[in-house]
Amino acid sequence: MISSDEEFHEWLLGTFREEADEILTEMSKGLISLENDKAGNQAELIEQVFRKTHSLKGAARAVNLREIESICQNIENVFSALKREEIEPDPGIFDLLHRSISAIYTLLSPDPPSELLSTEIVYALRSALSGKNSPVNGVTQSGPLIPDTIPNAPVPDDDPEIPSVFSTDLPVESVPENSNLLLADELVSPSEQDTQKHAGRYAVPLPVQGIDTVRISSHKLDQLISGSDDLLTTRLFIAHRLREIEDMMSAFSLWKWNHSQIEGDLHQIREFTYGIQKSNLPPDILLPLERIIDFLKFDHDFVSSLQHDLSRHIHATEMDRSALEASTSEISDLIHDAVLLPISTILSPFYKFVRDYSRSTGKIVDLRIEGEDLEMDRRILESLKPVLMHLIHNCIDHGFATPDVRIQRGKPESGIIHVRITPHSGSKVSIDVIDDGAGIDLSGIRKAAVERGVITVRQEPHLTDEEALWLIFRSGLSTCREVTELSGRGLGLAIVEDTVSRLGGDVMISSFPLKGTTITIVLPVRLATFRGVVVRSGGQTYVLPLQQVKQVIRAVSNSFLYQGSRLVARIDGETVRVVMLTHALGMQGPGPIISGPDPVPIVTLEYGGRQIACVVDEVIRVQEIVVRPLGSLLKRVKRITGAVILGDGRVAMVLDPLELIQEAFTTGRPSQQITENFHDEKRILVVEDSVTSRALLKRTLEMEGYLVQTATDGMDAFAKLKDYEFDMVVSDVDMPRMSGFTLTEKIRADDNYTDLAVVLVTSLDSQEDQEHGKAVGADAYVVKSSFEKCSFLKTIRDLLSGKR
Amino acid sequence: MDSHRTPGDGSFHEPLYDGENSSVDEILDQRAKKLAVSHLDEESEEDGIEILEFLLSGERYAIDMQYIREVALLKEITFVPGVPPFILGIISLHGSVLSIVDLRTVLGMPPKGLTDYNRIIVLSGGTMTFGILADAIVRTMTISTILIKKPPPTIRGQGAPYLTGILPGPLMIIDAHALLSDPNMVIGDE
Repeated sequence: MISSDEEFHEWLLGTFREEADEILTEMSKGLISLENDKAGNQAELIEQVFRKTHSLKGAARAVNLREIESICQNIENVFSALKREEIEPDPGIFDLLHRSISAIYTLLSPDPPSELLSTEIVYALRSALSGKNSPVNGVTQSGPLIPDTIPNAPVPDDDPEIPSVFSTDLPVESVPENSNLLLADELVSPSEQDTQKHAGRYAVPLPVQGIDTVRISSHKLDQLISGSDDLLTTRLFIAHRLREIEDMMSAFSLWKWNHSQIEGDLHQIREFTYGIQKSNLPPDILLPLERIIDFLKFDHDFVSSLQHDLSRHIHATEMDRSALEASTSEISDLIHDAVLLPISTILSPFYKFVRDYSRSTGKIVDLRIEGEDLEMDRRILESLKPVLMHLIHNCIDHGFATPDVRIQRGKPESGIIHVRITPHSGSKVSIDVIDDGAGIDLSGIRKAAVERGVITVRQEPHLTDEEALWLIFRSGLSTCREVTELSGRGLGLAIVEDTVSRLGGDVMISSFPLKGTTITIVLPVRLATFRGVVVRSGGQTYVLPLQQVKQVIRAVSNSFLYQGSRLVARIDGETVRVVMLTHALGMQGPGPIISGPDPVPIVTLEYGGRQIACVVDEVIRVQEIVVRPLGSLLKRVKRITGAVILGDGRVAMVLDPLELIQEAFTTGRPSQQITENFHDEKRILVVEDSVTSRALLKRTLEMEGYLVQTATDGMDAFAKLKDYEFDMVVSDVDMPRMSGFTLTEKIRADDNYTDLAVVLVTSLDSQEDQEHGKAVGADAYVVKSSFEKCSFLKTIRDLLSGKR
Repeated sequence: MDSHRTPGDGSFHEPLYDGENSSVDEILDQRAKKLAVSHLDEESEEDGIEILEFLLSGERYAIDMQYIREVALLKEITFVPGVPPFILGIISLHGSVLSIVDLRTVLGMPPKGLTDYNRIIVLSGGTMTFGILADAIVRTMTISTILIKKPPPTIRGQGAPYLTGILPGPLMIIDAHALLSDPNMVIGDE
C-alpha cells in the first residue's frame, strides 16, 4: 500500500494528527478540571496533563514537527514550575495554556501558518515563567525527580533503546516513561512491568485503560459492518429461496391429485392385463401394457420418495437456516457492539469549545457532563455531534445573559450547561442538555408565529404553552426562519429534530422563564435493523421505511376528493393529502387510476405531525431490509436514502418519507396529471430479450403516456397476451425460445388478436428480413441500427390511431 | 487474464532470425541481442499497456486494464429517479450496489440506434467504483504506448477530456483515470 518515503511520511503525519487530536482534547479537559478543582487534587491533575503533554512532545518529535515539540516542551516547563509551586496557577496561566493548545491545533491543520505563531506562544510561555532560570531542556529539568535506577525514565533524544515513537504506539495506555515522575517514591522494583502496572493503577481517570483494548481503524470497522450486513442479506436470500422451494413442493399435491384421478383406470387396466381376460388381449399389446403398468408403479414410488426426500431436505435446510440466523444475528450484534464508543469521544472537545466560545461572547459559561461513559454506535455519535454542537451553540448565544445581568437576576456569575446522559428503557439513552439561562420567551414565539402566518390569530389563544414551545422546531418545515431568530433560538433546531428523528429518536423541550431550558434527546444506542414496506409503483419497486409508515390501506374511489386543486383522501375521519408516488419521484406517465371501481393501495406516511397518502400500484410485503449506500457515484439523491437488495437479487430504492412529506407540503404543485388521460390508456407489450433495449423502449413509450408491460421473449409475450388486453406489440426479432417472426405468425393466426398491431424492432436489416417480417404480418419494421426516437413514436402513434 | 502472451501481440514476437548470409556466430549473436531487447521491452512497463477492447454503438474503444475490476453481464437494472441521464441506473453485483454509467452520454455520442448494450465493465480506482456498459467485449491485448497517437485537436466537445489517445484502427482509448477522478461524475456531493 505504502510505496514511497513521502507517502509513508504522509501516513505517519495522518496518524499523528489523529493521536494529537485525542491528546489535545484530553489536555484541555484536564486544564478545565484543574481550573475548577476544589477538591485539592491539583497535584494529580497537573501530573495528568503533564504526561499528556509529554506524550504529545514525543509523538511530534517522531514525525519531525519541531514547532509543536517546542511548544510542548515549554508547556511542560510551565507545568514543572507549577508542580514545584514556583508559579501560581492564576487565570492568566490557564488562558495562556489554552491558547497554546489552540496554537497546536492550528499547527496541526494541513496548511499551517508561518512560524510566527509558535514563536509567539513559546515566547509567552517562557515569559510566564517570569524571568526564572527556566531550563530549556525538559530532561534536565525533570531529571532530579527521577531516580537513577529507572532505566527508561529520562528520554534522551536519540537513545536507540527507546524509540521515540514509543508513545505513538501506546497512546491510550498513556504510560510512557514519565508516569514514573509521580510514582518515583513508591516504586519498589522499578522493572518495566511494574512501571506499567503501577501506571495503570495510578493513572488518573482515563477513559480507556489497560491492554485489553486495541486500536482498529474506523475504515476496517466499517468494512466489518458492511461484511456482516452482507451476511444478513445472504440470509434473507436463503430465506427467500427456501420459500420458493416450499412453493414448488405444492406441485406435488397437484401431481398426487392427478394420479388419484387415474387410479381407477389403472386398477381396471391391471385387472384386465393380469386377470382372466388376459387371453382376450392381442399378445403384441399385452407385453407393452405390462411394462407400462410396471413403469407407472415405479413412477409413483419414485415421485413419492422424491417428495419425501425433498421435504426432509427442506426441513433440514430450514434447521440450518435458523442456525445460521442465530449465529449471524449474534455476529452482527457483536460487530455492531464493537462500534459502540463512549459518548465522551464526541463530548470531550465541547469543554474547550464552551469555555472559549462563551468567553469570546463576553459570557462565562461552563460545561458539566455526567454519564459520558455510556456507549453508543459510532455512526449515531457522528450524526449526534453536530446536533449537540447546535444545541450548545444556541444555548450560549441566546440562553445566557452576560455576567452582570445574571448577577442582577440573583444568579451566579457563570452559567452552567449541564449535559446529562442516562440510560433509557429499550436500549436507548436519554441526553439532557440543561441550561440555567433565561429560558425561552414564549410570548415572543407566539407573536412571531402569528406574524409569519405559521398559526392564525384565532389559533393562538388555543395553543398551550407546550405547543407554542414546539413551534421552534417547526421553522424548518414552514420555510419561515425568523420565528426562531426572534424567539432567541437559532436556525438549527429544525435540523436537530430532523437528525434525531432520522436516527429513530425523539426530542423534548421544556423551558421556564428565567430558570432555564431543558432539551432532552432520546436515541437508540445502536442502529437498528430496519424494516420496510416493499411497494411497486410505475413498474419499479421501492421500499418505504416502516418507521414512518402509519398505515397501509386500500381506498375506494369515493374516499378521494378535491380541495381546490389539491387531491385529498378521507382516511379514518382525517383529511390527508394524496401523492401519486410516481409523480412525487418526478417520473412521467399515468399513475394508478383512482376513479375506477377497484380500490387502490395507499401507504400513509407520517412525520412531525404531518401525513401524506402515497398511492402505489401494489403493496408487496413488509420485510427486514439492510439499507446500503447507492454506490460511489451517487452520494446524495433527492427523496432517496439508499438501496436494498431484495431476495431475488434485484435492487430497490429506499425512499425518504421526510423529504416526500416536506415536498408535498412545500411545493405548490397541485395534484396534476391525475385526471389527464394519456392516449386513452393505450396498452403496449414490449418484447425484448436485451435488458437495456427493453428498458429504453419501455421508458420511451411510458414518457409518451402509454401503459407498457414487458416480456423477455416470444413465449413469455404470448402468455401475457392471453392474460391481458393490449393494443400493440413491439417486439424484437432475434430472441431465445420464440422469435419475433414466430410470435407475429402466431398472433396473426389467432382470431382473438385481429385488432392487435405488431411492430418488429430488429437488428436484421436485410431486404429479405424485412420481406419476411411483412410476410408474417407485421405492421411496421424498425431497424435497430437506425432507431430514432421521434420517428419511432410517430410510427406507433400512426398505427394506434389510424390502424395500418 | 494472461492472454496477452499469446502470439501475434506485437513486438515480443518479432522474428529472431533475419539474415541469410550471416555466420552461425553472427546469427547467435543477433538472437542473443534480440532476446535481450525483447526481454527488456517486456520488463519495462512504460512500453506496453494491457487494454480491453470493446464496442460502443459500432465503434471500437479500449480501456487500460489496470482500472478494470471485472466484466459482467447485465441482467436487471433499476432506474433511479432524479439523476442525470448519464446514470442509467443501479444494479447489485456480489451483494453491493453499483451505479451503471452510459458512456455514450458522457462522451456526447448522439443517441442513435438500439444495440445490445448489456456488458458491464466495472471500473475501479481510488474511492470510486462504477460500471459502464458496452455492446460487446472484443478482446484484451497488450499494446505498445509508442503506437498511441494523441487525439487530433479536431476532437473537441464533451468527450475530449476522457480520451487518452487513438490507435490505428481507429481504436479510441478512454482515460479511465479521468473518468474515475472527475468530480462531475459524482451526484449530490456538495
